[in-house]
Amino acid sequence: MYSTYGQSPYLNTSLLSQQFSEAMKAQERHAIKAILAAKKSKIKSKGVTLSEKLTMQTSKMKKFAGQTVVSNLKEGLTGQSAQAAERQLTSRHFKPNLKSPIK
Amino acid sequence: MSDLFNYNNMYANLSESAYSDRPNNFPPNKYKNKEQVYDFSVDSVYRHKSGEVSSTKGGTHLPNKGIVYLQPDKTLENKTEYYIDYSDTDFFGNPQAKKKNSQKGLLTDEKAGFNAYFVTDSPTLSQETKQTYLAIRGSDGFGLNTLNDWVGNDANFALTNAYIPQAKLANQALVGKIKDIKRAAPNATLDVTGHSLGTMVSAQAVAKLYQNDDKAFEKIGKVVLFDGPDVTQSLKQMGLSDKEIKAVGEKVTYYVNPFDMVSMLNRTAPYEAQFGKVNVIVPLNFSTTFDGATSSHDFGEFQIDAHGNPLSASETFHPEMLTAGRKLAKLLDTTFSKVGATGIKGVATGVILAALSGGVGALMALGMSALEAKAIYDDFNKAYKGIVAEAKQKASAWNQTHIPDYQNRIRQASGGQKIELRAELLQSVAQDAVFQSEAFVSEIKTIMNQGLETVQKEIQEGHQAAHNLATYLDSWEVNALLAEFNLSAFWDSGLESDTTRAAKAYLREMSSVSATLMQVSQHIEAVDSEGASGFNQLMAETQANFGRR
Repeated sequence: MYSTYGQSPYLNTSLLSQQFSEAMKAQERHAIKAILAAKKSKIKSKGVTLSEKLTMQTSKMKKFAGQTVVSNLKEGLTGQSAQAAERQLTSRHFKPNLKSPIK
Repeated sequence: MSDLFNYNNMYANLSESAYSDRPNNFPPNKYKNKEQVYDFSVDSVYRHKSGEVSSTKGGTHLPNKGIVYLQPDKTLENKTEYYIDYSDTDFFGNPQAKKKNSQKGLLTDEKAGFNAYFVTDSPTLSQETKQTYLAIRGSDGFGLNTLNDWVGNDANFALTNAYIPQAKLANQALVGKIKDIKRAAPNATLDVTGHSLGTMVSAQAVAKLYQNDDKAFEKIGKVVLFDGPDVTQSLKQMGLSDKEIKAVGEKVTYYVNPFDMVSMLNRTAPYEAQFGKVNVIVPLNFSTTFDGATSSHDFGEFQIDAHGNPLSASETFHPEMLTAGRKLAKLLDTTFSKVGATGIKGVATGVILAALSGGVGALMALGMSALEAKAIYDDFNKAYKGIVAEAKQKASAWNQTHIPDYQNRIRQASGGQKIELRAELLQSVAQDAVFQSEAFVSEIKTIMNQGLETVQKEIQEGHQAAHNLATYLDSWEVNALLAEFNLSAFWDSGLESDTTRAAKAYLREMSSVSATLMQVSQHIEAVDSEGASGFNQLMAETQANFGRR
């Protein structure tokens, strides 16, 4: 008794093996792309979170200058100098433009 | 280097002017044979040799409207000495004879490192003269470099507990000038002022005067000293009794920075038990002696109000400054003991202090091992920075607790007390605003770092997963798939810089408002009367200093 595997004229094992390998490669390509797509989407969602944090920080800083400091100055500054200080503290210089670097 | 922000305190003005390369400085006019007029009521802008520009606001409520006259030292002579320089030889190997010029007079001994300036409120000493001053210079310039110089310069080597050579010269200057005053200006008194090493020279010279001639001592008005160590032990070594030290101390006032090593030297005893009346200032910055532009040993740290009072701590106003000073004094003492425990003997505290400023190498130069030097230096440095950081934290808490309290008290106060409370409130608000803004910048930094780390982590995990999964794919192909899956695809470093810049700009703007509030607190009555224009003008000036306009 002897094996006829690989000797059949109807079977090209090398071709089969190559085809299998290509199929597996294609599958791996898809899987890798899917992983990367999932990661991209995760990073994007992190970007949203970071943007939200920075927006909150901006409003915290704006509120501190325009409300907390202005209110703390009451009784310390009076009349027009108090108004001048308030104008300064509510100006654009105290509304920082904090942007998320996550694309 | 940071100069005084205003000329509101005559003693601080004269002490600063005694140094070279300072606004309104005396040294360039020292050799003139006629009196030179100085007006501290006008604003000044000064360009330092380093190129740094500082502006100082003219003083208000100054004696004689801020005008003083620097008197010539008619005893000043040029001395020429010849010496052999063995390090410089001629073609035949013979050492060269060299000439060295130095100045010597009643108020100057260049070789001994003694420089004093006699200043009056009238062009010459006369019946009209009411006030005269002797301003005694410390070592020229200060900070890290000069502290190192103290090691090599015996003349400036003044932080010991002995009666130092410059003080002997200062005493002779006092005796000479009091004789002149008695003769030509019987209605005048003589005030003495100095900074840093100049404080020790002044204090010892005045004490010696008391010891030798109590009649002459009566001519001394006030002795106002800045950023100097306590000299009680040295006065005892000079033979003064506790009672005599107390009597001399009645005329002496110190303003010391709690974060300054020189100020806090020899100050382990309670402040009230130290020589003179000791005021611990609330400095402008929370910085150490070594912090260059904001060194706690420099004049710019004094916050002086319109009436010339440096902002000072008390048990009811920023008491954390008193604690910080005590802790620094104790730390210095402990560190000196540690240096002593290494077996090094005969090294004065001044040298150790200087060595500490020079780091591990300078400590090793005293003769200790690298290991010992590193251990001592690291412990000292960590504890020193810790004292400053702790005070900052406590100051922030103090401000937040006391701001509403000040507002209530101001509503019920009137007159001078109201002005004083308003000034303290503004100072607290100004300080708190900067603290909070610094915290915002730090929070933004943390948020951005966390964002960056998250992106990096996801990218790294993506790469790892792709490589783990690939069995049939060639690595070049995996790498090609990952080629654009990198940090630059997800992180815009340009936007990152923009955000960091925006955060810093906010801090800069708030620091500028804070500096304006400090200025307002020092000139409340004037700003009240000028209204918005007064505030806006101060704001424009501080913004110019902060580089916006």
